[in-house]
Amino acid sequence: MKDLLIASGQDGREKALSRFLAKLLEVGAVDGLVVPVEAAAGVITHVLAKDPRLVERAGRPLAPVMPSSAATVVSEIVRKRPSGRVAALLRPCEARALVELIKLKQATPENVVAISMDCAGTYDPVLYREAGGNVDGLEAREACRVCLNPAPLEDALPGMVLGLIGLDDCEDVVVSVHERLDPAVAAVVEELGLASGEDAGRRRKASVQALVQERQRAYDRFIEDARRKAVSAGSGPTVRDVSGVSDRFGLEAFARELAACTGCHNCRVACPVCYCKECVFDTDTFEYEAGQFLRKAGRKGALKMPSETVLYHLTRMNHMSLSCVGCGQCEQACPAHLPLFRLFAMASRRTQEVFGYVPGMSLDDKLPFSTFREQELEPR
Amino acid sequence: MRTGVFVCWCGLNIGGVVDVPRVVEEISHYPGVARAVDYRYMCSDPGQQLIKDVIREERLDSVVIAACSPGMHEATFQSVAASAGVNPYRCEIANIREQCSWPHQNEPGEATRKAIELIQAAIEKVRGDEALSALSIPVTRRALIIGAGIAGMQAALDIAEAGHEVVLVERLPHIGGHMAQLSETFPTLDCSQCILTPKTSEVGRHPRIKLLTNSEVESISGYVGNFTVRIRRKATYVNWDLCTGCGLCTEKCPSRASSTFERGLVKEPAISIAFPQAVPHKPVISAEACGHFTKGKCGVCEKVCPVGAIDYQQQDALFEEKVGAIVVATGYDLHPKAKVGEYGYGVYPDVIDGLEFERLNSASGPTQGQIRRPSDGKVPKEVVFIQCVGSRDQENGYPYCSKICCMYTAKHARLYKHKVSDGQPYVFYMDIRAGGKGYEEFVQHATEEEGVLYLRGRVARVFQDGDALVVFGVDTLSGKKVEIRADMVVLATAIVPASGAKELARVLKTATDQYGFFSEAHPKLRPVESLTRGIYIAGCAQAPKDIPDTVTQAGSAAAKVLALFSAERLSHSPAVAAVDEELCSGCGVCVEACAYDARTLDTRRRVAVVNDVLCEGCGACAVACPNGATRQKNASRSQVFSMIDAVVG
Repeated sequence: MKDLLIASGQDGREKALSRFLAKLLEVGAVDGLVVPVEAAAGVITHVLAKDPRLVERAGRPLAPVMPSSAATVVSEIVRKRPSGRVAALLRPCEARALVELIKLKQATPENVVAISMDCAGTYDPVLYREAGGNVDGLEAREACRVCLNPAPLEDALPGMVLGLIGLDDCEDVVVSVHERLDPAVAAVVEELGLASGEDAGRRRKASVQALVQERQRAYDRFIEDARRKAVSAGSGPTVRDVSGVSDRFGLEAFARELAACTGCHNCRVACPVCYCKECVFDTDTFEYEAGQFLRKAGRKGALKMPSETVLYHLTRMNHMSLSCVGCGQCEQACPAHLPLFRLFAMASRRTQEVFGYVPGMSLDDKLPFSTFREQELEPR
Repeated sequence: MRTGVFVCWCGLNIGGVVDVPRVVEEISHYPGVARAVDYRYMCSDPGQQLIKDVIREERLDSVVIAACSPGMHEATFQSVAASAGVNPYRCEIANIREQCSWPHQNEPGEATRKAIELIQAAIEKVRGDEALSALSIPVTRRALIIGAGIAGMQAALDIAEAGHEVVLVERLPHIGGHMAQLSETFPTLDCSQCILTPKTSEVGRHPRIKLLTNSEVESISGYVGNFTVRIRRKATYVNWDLCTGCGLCTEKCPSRASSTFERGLVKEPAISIAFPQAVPHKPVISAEACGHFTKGKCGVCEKVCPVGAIDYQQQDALFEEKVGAIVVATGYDLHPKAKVGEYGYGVYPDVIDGLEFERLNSASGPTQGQIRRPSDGKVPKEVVFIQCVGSRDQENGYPYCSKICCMYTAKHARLYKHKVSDGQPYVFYMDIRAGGKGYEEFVQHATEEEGVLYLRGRVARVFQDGDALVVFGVDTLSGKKVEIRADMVVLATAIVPASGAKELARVLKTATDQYGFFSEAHPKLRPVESLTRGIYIAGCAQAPKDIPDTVTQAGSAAAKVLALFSAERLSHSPAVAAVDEELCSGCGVCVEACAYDARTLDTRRRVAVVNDVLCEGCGACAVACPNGATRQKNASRSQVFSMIDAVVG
């Protein structure tokens, strides 16, 4: 890793960054660029940009909202008959989700130039839009407030990292270039003749560390609170997690938390790691005959409709909790405002701990589902 | 949908707990059931006849048998169904014995309820069963045998004699295995080489045995009847096609290497043939010891070889063989020296293991068969034999019994007495295990006629004191501590799987136990079959055993191979996995989940593909697949969900 510095000009770091990104397109170092733009006042969306002028003019690389996960966007672009090289601006959680998607063969690393960047947090896109892009008085999303990875994991994807944290005063950006950065892109960076960013890099590192510590405290409080909620909702069997702490969070309590679910499956659409071409819950597997519905209703006295919403969330948890990067897209997409981030955070914290698995950390880590270690489910 | 349900009493096994008449009564009202009947023993001839009769009378299209585990009689009932015109894959078993009457013996009411639910679930499953037909796969009638000890040789000869080609792969440059190292064999004390050499030479010259020594199996692909094996023939640096085995190179070689065959008791020339009767009778250069390879100087063997067979440039050769069956006969090693510290094994030269004693006692061994101890060549007058070193030792070794040590220790003690008539052998033992024809008599003879002193107890320590080895032990029969000043100590060290056994099992995609012995498919009823179809096991690769047992098992493995080769094609269960390409996202999770390499990813179309004949229908892929793109034939998601409903609803 080499630290360089993009000094912000008179028009600020976002413009400087947009110019930097536009340059990549301009000289043809990449064939396309995934970047957020402001489509209307307060409306941020990803685009696959080809025109560098558009990036320079409308690019909002630092817009503090995540309309959808860039991981999903990148996967959509390079999944089918991949060709060319697409650069993508990725928040840490988006970069981690992309690593998971690559493991699941839903993206090809050789077609992606990852430009990961620091992220101090994002706001709910609807609130942001209503506020016309003015963030005063807005609170960052819960997932962001307790996010333990405000800085990208440097070695996860070959590319570069844009460092922002701790550099707000000077508005500079540290560019850390990965050794395995695409040579064409590396040449562009070289050509720009950027100054050394070592000093700024050190400052950034210290700030990131302090921020992570602060976040850790927030996360601990969040988990404590989540546990309390679980206990007060509680009934059903005692669940003992790997740390030996037991919570009471049975199926009935879980069902109560999800009672307002309308079965729209938006959470699945928004989830960056949910990758199935067609979800099993959209197939005819759960299209019951009338008699089956009546039998099921008869068993419990009444059947929640739309049916199988709890099974749906459990299945999603079963399939995705190991790869869950905690981005909170599921909750952001939920029209019923279900506490999906909290539920997934609790479940994935445990499943990931059981397998010692950190999603998005490295392309070399195998998915726990695809490997078997003799001792993996022994009590520890 | 016309389903017949047949409920078996299994004598009192089921009928003594489950209220069978009530089960029949309830099930006969279940939707889709044309008739439900019971019988005392459904697997008996009259029971089978009953099934056929009802199938015809009721014009059934599917059958549910409520009886014992499908592992026992699924095949029986499938063929009964087929013989009466019902597709055999529309015959389901509800296991109401192992999964119901046996575990619920004290709660007959609940057991009856559960039996009904299990049968209902089976009815739901059979409702969704497709009428499948068995897959057919060709058989390559050629066998691979891994390991050319007595087990591998015996299996090779049996198969070759029956008319099929055999590829016999041996890691060492010569065949014969450990049996070639033995001096005499119990309980008859006949010379090991004398009974072995007829076999080694027969193997060496057999027209249908392709012998590949100094070779190892690198990888295997394929499946029963159709394996492709990659074999690495390690460089010998001697062109064996030219070599006449004259031995001039060995005579003139100035470099020395420790002899593996002689268990390190002597050094041998860096180019040598392990022993006089070796097959093939061709030398190998040890590159670690050879002056040409280590110092880049010597070239004596090349100069003296009259036929120009020395080839320092020789490389490992890789080649492929196609075979239909594999016999694993990789044999054993002895517990490594480093692990028996308290007996000074590996530290004191006169503390040796059983195989070293065999070499000392062997006419072709380093002492020409005279019992002389390694340190100074003195004839030992007091020899202590210690049994169960590493065996039956939970803490420092292995819990299992190595099975042959009681017998070979008695043999060693007796052979020692034959050669050193004024010597005194002592044997420390835990108990004597001499179950075998003539075995007990053999041990009796040692204790009663030949003056071998047996001491029941463990040895705590062995240490060197001047010229002697002091053995501290306890005689638990007299309750006294024993101290013997011995000239030599022989340890009956535990038998462990040959090195690399676990790695080979991985290559073969079959299983070993926790120690590395190959697992048999059933400990009693399928002792020579591995857990992978088409792969068989013989000899100590499976567990410690003596020569007669090894030969028996090798013959049995050969018989299994011959049975496999008796038909031109094999049938394979059609209840395999299939992929709905419309749904498949090409994530490859199923490929990783498959233990049989039956799945691949078509990267161009981005879908998973199943190789039907490799698929064992275990369902791991269907479970791993997140959206049901992978479907297990006759165990579809909707079938499974209906089964669950039948049980919980």
